[in-house]
Amino acid sequence: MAGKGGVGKTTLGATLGLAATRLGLDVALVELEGHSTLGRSLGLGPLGYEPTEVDLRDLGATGRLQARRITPDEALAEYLGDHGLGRVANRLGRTGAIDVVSTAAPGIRDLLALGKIRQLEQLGTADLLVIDAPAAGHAITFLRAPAGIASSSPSGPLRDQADLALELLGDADRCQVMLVTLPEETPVNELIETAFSLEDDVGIKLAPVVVNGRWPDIEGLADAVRAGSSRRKSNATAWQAARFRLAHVEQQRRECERLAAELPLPQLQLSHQFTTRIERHHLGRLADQLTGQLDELGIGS
Amino acid sequence: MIAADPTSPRPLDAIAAPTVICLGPGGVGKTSMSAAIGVALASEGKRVVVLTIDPARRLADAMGLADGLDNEPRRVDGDWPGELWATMLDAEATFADVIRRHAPDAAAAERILTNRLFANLTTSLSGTGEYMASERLFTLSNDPRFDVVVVDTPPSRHAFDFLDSPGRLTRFVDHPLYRTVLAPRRGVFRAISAASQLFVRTVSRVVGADLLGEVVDFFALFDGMDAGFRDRAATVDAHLAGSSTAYVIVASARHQAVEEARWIADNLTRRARSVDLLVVNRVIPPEYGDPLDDAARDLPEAVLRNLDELGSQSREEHAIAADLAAATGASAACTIAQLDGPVGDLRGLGVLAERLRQADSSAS
Repeated sequence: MAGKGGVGKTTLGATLGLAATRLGLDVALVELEGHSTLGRSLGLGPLGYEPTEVDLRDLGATGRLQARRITPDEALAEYLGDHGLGRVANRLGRTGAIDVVSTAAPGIRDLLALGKIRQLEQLGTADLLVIDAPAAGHAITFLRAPAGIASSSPSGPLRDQADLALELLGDADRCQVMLVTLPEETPVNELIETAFSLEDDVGIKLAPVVVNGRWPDIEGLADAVRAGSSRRKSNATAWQAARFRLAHVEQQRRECERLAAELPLPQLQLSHQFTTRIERHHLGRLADQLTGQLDELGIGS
Repeated sequence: MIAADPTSPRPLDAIAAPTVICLGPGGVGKTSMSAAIGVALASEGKRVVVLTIDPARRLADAMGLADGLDNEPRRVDGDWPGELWATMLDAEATFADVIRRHAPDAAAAERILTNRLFANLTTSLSGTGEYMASERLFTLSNDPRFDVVVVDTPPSRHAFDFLDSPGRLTRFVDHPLYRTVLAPRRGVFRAISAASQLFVRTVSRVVGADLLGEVVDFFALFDGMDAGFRDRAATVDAHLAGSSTAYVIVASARHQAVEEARWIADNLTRRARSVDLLVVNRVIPPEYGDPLDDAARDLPEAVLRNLDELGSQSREEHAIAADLAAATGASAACTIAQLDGPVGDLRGLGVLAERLRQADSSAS
């Protein structure tokens, strides 16, 4: 999952995870950065490096869902531990040595996180790994990291990791990027730029794009506004709210059309929930919408 | 709605300082709000420069920054008694200036600037871009052409890199790894401990000896520049901590944005800086949440349903905004309703600026 901050990337990750567990698949949700909002939207506290089992049976899940948070420091500590260097591993992380070294090798942190993700993939931890990637601009940097390191280090353990990560990113059967946006000008522009950059520079396959937060039409609202001009003396606020809604819906529609015209990828749309906080029951509704649209595209199952 | 409080300052009066720093989560319209604050202050007769980090294309156009990166402020023409200028951060050029200022001589500066790793530094060392933004801010705040500098910052996760960044490079050269790898060259730390050697060996085992060697070469170039960095960092830091800097948190009423805004406020407080203004942006117009009168029964079903949906979101939003105002301890707080159309042109900024000037404020 990749997209600009605040477009609902985390919510979409949880929604896709839920939709997959409803098909009986085992899912691992991975959060890479931010303020651990994934855990909260699933009704959990902040996530840790070790996976947390999430019970979604009340929402129709038949597969298992695990959620965890992967940080480069912990991934490095684990890597060193696996290679018999556990004792100094702690010290490296604690003193921020990675910060210093990553100056020379931009992307070493990203590569460590990708390495851990690849390990989870190889271990067959789950049928589907859903990764909540860093926000848009950083997502490109994140996914470019292996290529950068492969080109700057001729050999060594980092180079080996980079080659393996490149193999994963370039294989459409194993890895795809789902871009998320809101139907608003700035996030749509950013999504389009990110999409071309990911295809051209990283060579990664793009899944259908997701437009989050689409305000649904209300049947009869436009007609009522057109017909209601004589009654507008009373309830001015109600009519104003109706026009506000229509203007908003129309503007979102235009943004979706523009996105479709500028980016030839299938578009999935999730509706806005009239609340300030997405909770578990919203996830159920959103997963219904997602599954329905994926079915229509013939990739639902 | 955040209850109006006649005793609390008007939003713009709450941030009457020569430097205004806008912080906030991503996706809440922070960059536009920073520009709108600039327009609002220019409308009150101030000579304002807005330092923006990564504006959307249309905003960049509106502010005359379409040509891209340029450290030189450009004047934005508009119908206001003051002046509005805008500039975008060029981190690399700023860093180059910093290096030239601190380097012992021109030759040493050139050696650093032409080093392959130098370009990496501005993009990869976390906080370097932010450090450059604070450098740039400090330079602008001493520029006699401007009364006020308004600064847009990166989304919250990186915002504190910005506030902490004056000390960043200092801490970097103080880092044990740096000292350890440079020790043999400097001669000062000749007695390298066994633990340090193990440390270096481990790092080189993970990243490869070649790479570590390059890092060492690069940072050897910085040798002797520590004191200059340290002095400058202290000066910039004092400016950011003092009463000449006002802090604005821009949030939306989405739960996630609110959580991040609280986190930002906590971090400001921990640094002994207070939130001078909280702007909860993009709310549903509050009157849509008002109770309906009797005449409303005659309204068409579709109109009522819309009011029901918008109203319930609006009531939630204003409750959450009031909680946030209390939690952040902001001296002033206001909500700004969503615009019907796009914000990112000069007309949209004008509307936003007017709303800011007119907004009722509440103290927490």
